[in-house]
Parts: sequence; structure tokens; C-alpha cells
Amino acid sequence: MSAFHLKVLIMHNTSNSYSSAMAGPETGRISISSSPEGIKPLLEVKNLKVYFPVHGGLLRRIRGYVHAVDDVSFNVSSGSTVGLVGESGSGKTTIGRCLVRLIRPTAGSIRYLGVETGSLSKKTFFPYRKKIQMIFQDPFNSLNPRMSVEQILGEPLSIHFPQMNIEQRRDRAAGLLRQVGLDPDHLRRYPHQFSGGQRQRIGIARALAVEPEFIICDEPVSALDVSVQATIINLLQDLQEELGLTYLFIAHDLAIVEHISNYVLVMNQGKIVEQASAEDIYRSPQHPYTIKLLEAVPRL
Amino acid sequence: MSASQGDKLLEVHNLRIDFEAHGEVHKAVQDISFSIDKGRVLAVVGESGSGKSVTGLSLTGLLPPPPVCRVQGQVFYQGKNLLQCSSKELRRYRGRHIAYIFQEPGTALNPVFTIGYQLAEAIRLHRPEVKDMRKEIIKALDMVHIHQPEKRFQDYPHQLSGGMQQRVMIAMALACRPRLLVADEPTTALDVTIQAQIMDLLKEIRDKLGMSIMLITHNFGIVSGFAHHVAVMLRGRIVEQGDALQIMKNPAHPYTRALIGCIPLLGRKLRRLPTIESEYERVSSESSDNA
Ligand SMILES: Nc1ncnc2c1ncn2[C@@H]1O[C@H](COP(=O)(O)OP(=O)(O)OP(=O)(O)O)[C@@H](O)[C@H]1O
Ligand SMILES: Nc1ncnc2c1ncn2[C@@H]1O[C@H](COP(=O)(O)OP(=O)(O)OP(=O)(O)O)[C@@H](O)[C@H]1O
Ligand SMILES: [Mg+2]
Ligand SMILES: [Mg+2]
Repeated sequence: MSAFHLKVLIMHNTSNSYSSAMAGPETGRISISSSPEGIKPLLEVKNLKVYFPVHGGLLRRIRGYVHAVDDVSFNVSSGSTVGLVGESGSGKTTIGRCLVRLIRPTAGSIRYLGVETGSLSKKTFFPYRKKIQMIFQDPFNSLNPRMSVEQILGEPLSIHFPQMNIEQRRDRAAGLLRQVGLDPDHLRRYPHQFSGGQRQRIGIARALAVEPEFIICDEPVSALDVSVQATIINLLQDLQEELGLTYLFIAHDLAIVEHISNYVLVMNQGKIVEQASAEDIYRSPQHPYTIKLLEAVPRL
Repeated sequence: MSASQGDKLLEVHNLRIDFEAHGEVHKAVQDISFSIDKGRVLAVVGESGSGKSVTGLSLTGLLPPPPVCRVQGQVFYQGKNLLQCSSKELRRYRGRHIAYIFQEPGTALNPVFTIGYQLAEAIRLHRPEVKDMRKEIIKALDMVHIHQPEKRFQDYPHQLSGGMQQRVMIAMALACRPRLLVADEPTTALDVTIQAQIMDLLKEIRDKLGMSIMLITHNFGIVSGFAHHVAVMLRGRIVEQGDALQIMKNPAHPYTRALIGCIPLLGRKLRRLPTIESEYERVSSESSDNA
């Protein structure tokens, strides 16, 4: 009860300055903001909740709810990388899917550059479909098996860059394949003709194709060997430096998260239990789950 | 690790796998040989696209038929050449003898059935003696650390998170009680804490049932302390194989050395992560210095 009030108070206090200082009531940590004082964050998520109904019994009636995301608030400032880590099933992917509007939240607000995107109609959300891209955790189910790689990469281009002709689209697609370490000669291949790690990279190329501003990377390198992993991470960082891209980086590999993130959110059972700068999280983790995670990682 | 000839469960000789796509032949696996002893773990590590998964799939005829894919060589399982078995015969080997944890759970779980139903099918098929099916399903889910399994077993695959799907698939493979488990990147979607629990579970079952494991992974972290042997693959070939400890301590091939050198570690502050190309250069220049 009091923890709840504390949270509300702090949220209220900081809403003017846009510095998202939040006291995690679970840890007592006052974390610094991910965005500089006075600058509006690119993304503001407030009190986001997603509850999924649980069906059961012969008639499959609703027997209860899974609190997949349970009152989550965080900001992402433009040009930064926010790492999102947490136990399997803690709600990371669900948050990402809300941001690209694949899921309607049960409650809460999502603001992108100040605009409440949660309440936009399909038509008015259209420009955000280009600006906000997601690299999906499960490449197998996110790539249409009946489309060649050229079509998979060309389709979003034809939607968002209608002025491009077919040669330009093919050139861009070939260039994207090269960037993610794949053979541009494989444009005619279909998803099932690739290895798991190669499919994951096709998903990355597709997200990059439309020149987005903000990318939700959901375990983007989990299926990749260390070398290809490094190629992809270096590519993401180069793009960020050149074009000012912003990332929400979901991963379970803490060494990678430490490497790429400015700011880290730690989730456990639908809640953010700790958030702080990457350095602080690794130097002095507060929440027992974060400590457990860090203890299990090999170090230098 | 010197095992006598009689301990071998699987022997693969001169395996070649060719794919034909758009009139071109792609040599995915080029003449590899390896073996797995009873109760032992072989880790197959290597770069993305080097042929690890197709090697595992070829053992029980899970690759597309010719002309799309041609598999040559010999795969002896308990002395029988599986590459010469009919598809009907092979079906008898799948599951009970050789079970798979597939790299992408999406390929293995059927979207139109609940996970409880799919687990029950696997259990019924391979262990008809099981009486209390509900209890067995819940036990299987609990073993892979699914919270509140009694609430979740009626879920459809799409209602589970990526890591939960992966664990359900592991539960399904283990429910078959196989002699050989082909575990293709079994923990990619899991954080270190659950990863450790799953690896412990595999170890426990390996010891209890004397199960052999072909562990396909890009993660050298889970190789140490688990695998007895390691085979390192690069572009369709095995470039190095042998005792796991030996290879981890003293990798002979520059690619293996580079692979170990690229592992990102906590607390190593780098502006850019090393790739094999960059690491390869470093390692090979080092070794020429030493020479
Ligand atoms: N469509 C859905 N219907 C019902 N429950 C769902 C649905 N999608 C997700 N869930 C549930 O919501 C919770 C959070 O799932 P989510 O996929 O967000 O986890 P995650 O943090 O991404 O985990 P992982 O690391 O394993 O990918 C899980 O308990 C999951 O079963
Ligand atoms: N149906 C197919 N047609 C053509 N080429 C294929 C087909 N299936 C696989 N390949 C190719 O065979 C090679 C080996 O694939 P495999 O899936 O075994 O790689 P892998 O070592 O498991 O890689 P990863 O670590 O990325 O999963 C890849 O280069 C892939 O593109
Ligand atoms: Mg997920
Ligand atoms: Mg593979």
C-alpha cells in the first residue's frame, strides 16, 4: 500500500522534469534517469499492464488471468540503448509487442514523442509502423514461409517507400543481406533453406530495411555464434552512431547487454524490479534476482 | 577418453549433405566422421551455417528427399546403417531411440494442440505403461521449471513465452526416454539461471538412463563441464575434434582459438566486439610471432 503511494508520488513529482527518477519500492534504489534533464524521451511507458485470460476445463471458460506485464513504467531517450533482461516468461516480449501494437495493453499509456500511440486508429498508427520496428525472438514463425528473401525484404520497402522501383528494392535487399553477413546471392531462397542463425539475421535485415528510428530487438543474437553475434552488435552500434537509432534490447546474455546498453531494466514476474545505468547494475546490483543473474555469469 | 569399440552407440562415416537450390548445389556438409559412445556427450560447435543442424537431422532422415537434398556416407546406430533404412523403419527409431530438441521450438510444437495434449501423445507412444497421464504431464513440465504447471498445461504454444516453448520441447524430448538425444541449441532462449538448471537436468537424465547426447551449440560456456568430446565445425567440415577439456585448454586449430577468444565476458570493456575475422588475424599473427 505505502509502496504504491510512494510510487505514485514519485511519478507525479518527476512528470514535470521528464527525468524518470523512480524509486523501485522493492529495492529502495533511486535510479538516475535514462534521459538528460529537460529533454523529452523518445518513448514513455507508464503503468503498462497486460493481462492474458487463462482458459481451462472442458468448456475452456476463463479461469483467471496471467499478469504478463504488471504496472511497468520506463523511459527511453532518443539515441540510447535500453537493455531489458529478466527471467523467462517475465513479460519482456509482451512489452515489445505492445510497443509495435501487436497487443493492446490492458491498461497504461505508451507515448512516442509525446503522442499516445496506444489509442491511435490503425490508419493514424501507419507512420509509426515504419518508425518502430521489431526484431522477433522466433525467426521461424515471423518469416512468411511462402515468400522468398527478396520478397520478405522488399515488401516493407514497397509499402513505406512507394517511389522505389524493383531494381532499387533488390539492391537495397542485397545490401542488407551483406550487412548481416549473408550471401546476397541468396535473395531467391526461401526461409526454410537457411540455418537457424541465418534466419535470425533475415529478421534483423527486415527490421533495418525501412530505416526505422526505434528498434525493439528481442533476443536478436541468441542463435548466433560469437563471431556473427559480434558482427550484428557492431552493425547495430554503427547504425546508432551514424543515424541516431534508439534500441530497446531484450536479451538474456548479460555480457552483451552490458556491452551495448546505457541503461538496464530488470524484470521479474511482470514487474520491473530494478532499473539503473548499465554500470550501476553491474557494479552494485540490488534486487536478489539481479544478483542471482550476475552470479551465474562467467567473468574475466 | 578411450572407449572400446563396443561402447559406440553412433558412428558416422564420411557424411556428405548436398542441397540443390535454383540449379546450384550447395555442399552443406563435406565428408565428416565422428562417433558417440554410450552415456557420453559430444558437443558440436561452430559458426552459423556450418552444417551443425543438418548433420543432426540427417541421422534419422529428417531432411528433404532428393533431389532437394542428398545425404551420402554411413550412419551406424547400434550397428545398423540408418541411411539405408526405409522411412517406415526410421520412424521407429525417432523418439524412442533418437529424440530431438529442435533449434526452433516453432518447428516442433503443433500450434493447434495444447502443450498438455502434445506431451501426452509423446508419453503414450513411448511409455505406454504410464497410468496417471495428468500427473506425468505436470511432472514433466515441473522438471523443466515451468511455473504452476497445473495451470499451464492447457495452454497452446502461442500462449507461452519463447523460453517456455523451448522448455516444453525439452520436456517432450525427454518424455520419450531416448538412447540418444540430439539437443540443437537447447538453451538459446534461456537466461543463465534456468540454463544451468536445464543442463543439470540433462546431466541427471544422462546418468540415470545412460543416455548419450549430441549437443549442438555455439555457446562454449555450456560445453565445459558437460561434454566429453567436442567437434568444431567450419563451413561444412570438422576442423578439430577430441577430448573436451583438452580442446578447451589447448585448442589446436586457429578457428577454435578464435571462437574461444570471441566470447564476450562481463567486465571486459571493449568499444567493439571481436569477430572471427578480427580475432583470426590476431590469433594467426600471434602464432606466427611465436614461430
Ligand atoms: N498470447 C498470449 N496468451 C496468453 N498468455 C500469454 C500470451 N503471450 C504471452 N503470454 C504469457 O505472458 C507471460 C510473459 O510472456 P513473454 O513472452 O512476454 O515472456 P518473456 O519475458 O519474453 O520470456 P522469454 O525470455 O522466455 O521469451 C508468460 O507467462 C506467457 O505465457
Ligand atoms: N533446404 C535447404 N536448401 C539449401 N540450403 C540449405 C537448406 N537447409 C540448410 N541449408 C544450408 O546448409 C547450411 C548448413 O545449415 P545448418 O542449419 O546445418 O547450419 P547450422 O550450423 O545449424 O547453423 P546455425 O548455427 O545458424 O543454426 C547453411 O549454409 C544453410 O544455408
Ligand atoms: Mg520473449
Ligand atoms: Mg542450426
